[in-house]
Amino acid sequence: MLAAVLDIRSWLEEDRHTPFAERLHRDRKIGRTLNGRSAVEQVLGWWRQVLPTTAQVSTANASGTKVEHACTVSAAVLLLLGFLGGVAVSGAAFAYQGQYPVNLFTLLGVLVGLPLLFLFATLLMLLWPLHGAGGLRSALAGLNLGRWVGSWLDRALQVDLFATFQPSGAQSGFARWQLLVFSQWLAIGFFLGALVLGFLLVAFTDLAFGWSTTLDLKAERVFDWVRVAAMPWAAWLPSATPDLALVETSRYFRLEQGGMPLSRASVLGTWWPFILATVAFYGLLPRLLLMAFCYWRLRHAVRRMLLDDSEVTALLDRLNSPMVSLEGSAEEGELETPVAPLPAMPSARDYAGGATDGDAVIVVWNGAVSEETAVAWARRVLGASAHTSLSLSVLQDESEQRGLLESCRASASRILLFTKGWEPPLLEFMDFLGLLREHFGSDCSLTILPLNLQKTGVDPDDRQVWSQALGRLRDPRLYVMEAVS
Amino acid sequence: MIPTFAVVGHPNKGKSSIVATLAEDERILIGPTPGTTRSAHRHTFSIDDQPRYVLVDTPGFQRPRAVLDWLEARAGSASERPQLVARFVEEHADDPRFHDECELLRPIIEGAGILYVVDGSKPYGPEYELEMQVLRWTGRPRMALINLIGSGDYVEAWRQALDQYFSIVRVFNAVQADFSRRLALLRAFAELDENWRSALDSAVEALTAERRRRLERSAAEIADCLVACLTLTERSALGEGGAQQPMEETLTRRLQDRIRRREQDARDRVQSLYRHQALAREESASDLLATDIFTREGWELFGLSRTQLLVSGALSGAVAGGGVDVLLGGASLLLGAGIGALVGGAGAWFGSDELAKVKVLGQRLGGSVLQVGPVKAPNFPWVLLGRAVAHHGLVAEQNHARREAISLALSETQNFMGTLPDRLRRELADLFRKLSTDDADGGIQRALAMLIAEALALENDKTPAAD
Repeated sequence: MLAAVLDIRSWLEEDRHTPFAERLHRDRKIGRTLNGRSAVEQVLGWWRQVLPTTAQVSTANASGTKVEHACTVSAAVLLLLGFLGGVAVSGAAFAYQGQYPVNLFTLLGVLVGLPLLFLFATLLMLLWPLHGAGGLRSALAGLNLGRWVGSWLDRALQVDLFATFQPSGAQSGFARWQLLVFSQWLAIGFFLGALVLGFLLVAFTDLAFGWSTTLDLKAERVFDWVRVAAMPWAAWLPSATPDLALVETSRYFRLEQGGMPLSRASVLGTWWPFILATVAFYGLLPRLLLMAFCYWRLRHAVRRMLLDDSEVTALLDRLNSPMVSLEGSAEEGELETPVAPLPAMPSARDYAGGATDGDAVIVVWNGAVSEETAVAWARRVLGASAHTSLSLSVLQDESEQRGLLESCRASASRILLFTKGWEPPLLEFMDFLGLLREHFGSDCSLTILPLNLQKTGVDPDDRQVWSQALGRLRDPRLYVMEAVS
Repeated sequence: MIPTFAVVGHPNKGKSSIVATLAEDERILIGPTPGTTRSAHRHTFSIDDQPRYVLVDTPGFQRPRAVLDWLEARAGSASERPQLVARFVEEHADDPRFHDECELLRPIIEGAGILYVVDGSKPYGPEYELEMQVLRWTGRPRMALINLIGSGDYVEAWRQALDQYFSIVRVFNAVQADFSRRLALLRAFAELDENWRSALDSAVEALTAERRRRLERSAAEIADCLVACLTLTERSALGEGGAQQPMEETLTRRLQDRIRRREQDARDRVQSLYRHQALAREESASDLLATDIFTREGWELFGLSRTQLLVSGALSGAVAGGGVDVLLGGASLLLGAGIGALVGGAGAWFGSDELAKVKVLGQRLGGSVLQVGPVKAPNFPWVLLGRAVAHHGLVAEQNHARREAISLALSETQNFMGTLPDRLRRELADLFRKLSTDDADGGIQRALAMLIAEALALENDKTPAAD
């Protein structure tokens, strides 16, 4: 699962460049097939469906598989190292020269006592988060071989996964439990090595075990300890439960002269089932249990690493939330090709220079302004006196408009057309311009005066709209003028 | 039948803006040039691919007089009028003169309701009646929307005219409308036809849920950014006898750049959630969002004041210390809470000017490594959060018809973090404190996201609704 989790995370990171709507659509479609499953199952199910459709995940994929593979190899190497360590340490602890028995206190202290101490330290500092004990915890973790392996893996795989004790949420949890798993493999290897060597020594060499102390310790007290220690297996492995006689016989003093009688030496060898059982029960078994627990927590941490990733939570949202789609086809058709705007009259004053009395027809379109105002403006600003003024609008039908135009002299040389500048020129306005051309001919100058709401010069935007629209007519005698007051 | 609404009207009166707003689609072309919309575009609102309603953006009327003349010339009884309009569309389907009219009338004769859009900021003109009459001939349910494009106010005149042709008349500023107004408009659509109510109600419900989800996702993105920025570090090997100061400055700059990029990344993600991928930010001196995160000005605007920091730090410390008191069953006589408050307050007060911790770390193979970060300044998470909340507020209310860059003016923020309720501020301070320790886990990030969602909701509630 680790490989999938890592791949999913890195793939989703890249997937951020996919348009949001596309992701939404893709994921919700898959999400509907995964209803009712747990969050992790949903994500993994989604991954199974997405994976075949995406060719570009190969590189991202490789990293997850590589990390998972590296973890497996590391665990195997640690198991082997632990095994060799166990063989070496137990070889030293079982060392028997035939002069004095192997001291049970030393032997069990090395093979069981010390490892138990490490185990307790592990449980205390790593499993139980002591607030404010970060320094001590880091120091202890620094001694952890699993952490060294983690650092090496980070460097070798160029990832940042095993840098534990960083405040980085779920990833730190994963690192912690993965490194604990590594440590357990090492410890299990150690105990297996110790047990295997111990058994081989027992099988192929003669060993004698005893206990010795300077303290005033009675054999009964030692027997009590032994009995308590052997309690877990006493019922089904009585041979691994020493009796009081054996305990009493096993005490030795180095000042004893002449060594031990052979009959006693053979009795002292009967400790071995107890020793191996003690190593197995108090050394190996707790580590196996701890490893099972660590694997269980690691699995949980990997799931958390998946579910706490912000891209994954976003993915779950997309998988589970009804897809509210609001979009449509936004592509517009080809816009009309922009044309050069109409050349504007430089200014009303210039226009006024060429004006002749009585040669202008003033037309007010759609009630943009009153006829009187338009006439007065033309006279005041342009110096042009109108021989005719008329109001026309789209409310009149074409025959009415033609009738009104008939009243105008067809030989007029210029037409001033006042219109609402805030309304865009519709095609029906263009039709009307055609009607004017039809009536007055193509030599007559036609000047459009789009007004603003103050009946003066039109807004630049509106003027641009008018100029652009009228430019499409390609009429050389058509102008747009600012109605400057 | 799926409720369908044809958005029709004069050219340049904001039809596309209304569609862009309701469809949350910033790709819709909106422009001052008549003819920006050349053909009808359907925008389907669906939930899990189940269409709930359809908006049809149409070109504007170009020759309503001619259309009405054609219809009136063939007028029979009132009951025949809709068929006559259909006949008009059929007969002029290939006539370029009536291309726009056919485009806008086609969805109506196919059963769409009518949303007639006018610009209430410009005066009413009797020429509009031609369009209204043509629409009346279709016999379809009609609603008029008075859009406000400019600053003028001719709403009353429009309303009087529109009331004669439309059963429902609403003012709707397409560019300024906030989410609640968009929902209100959708609800109003249901008034056109009772059969459409259930589909539109479910659409409103889905939109509301979607809105909530977006806010929560935004909060998660902001929390993610905060956690990332609060844990970022920069390291570099420091050679034997190498000068620490220049290296420290370089690493600090690199750290700041990474934080800036991470913040921008979070902003992009939030914008993407609200379908504002193309949203630009105004790069002007007056825009507070453009203020660099590492300037004193930015910290004063978005973070907490020193006094507020002191109070938040003390409260957060007191809560942590109170835990010890609880463990001791009160035997400590609240000494834990008192000491926690003192330590928290002092840390906030004296650490407020320091940006990031600088550490020199030993290496196994000799030499040393200089590490800058993570940023420990107590105000830093508040500044980041303040900026993120302000940005979210703008994005969440940014209308899809509005194409200007987003900009945050000074009056709009006024130190928002300082206005958070005490309880929320204390809880946030507590999480910020935990984030800077080794005990941070995914649970803290989730809790942070929940609190941020609360802050975002508060900020949204404070955003003044636009008319």
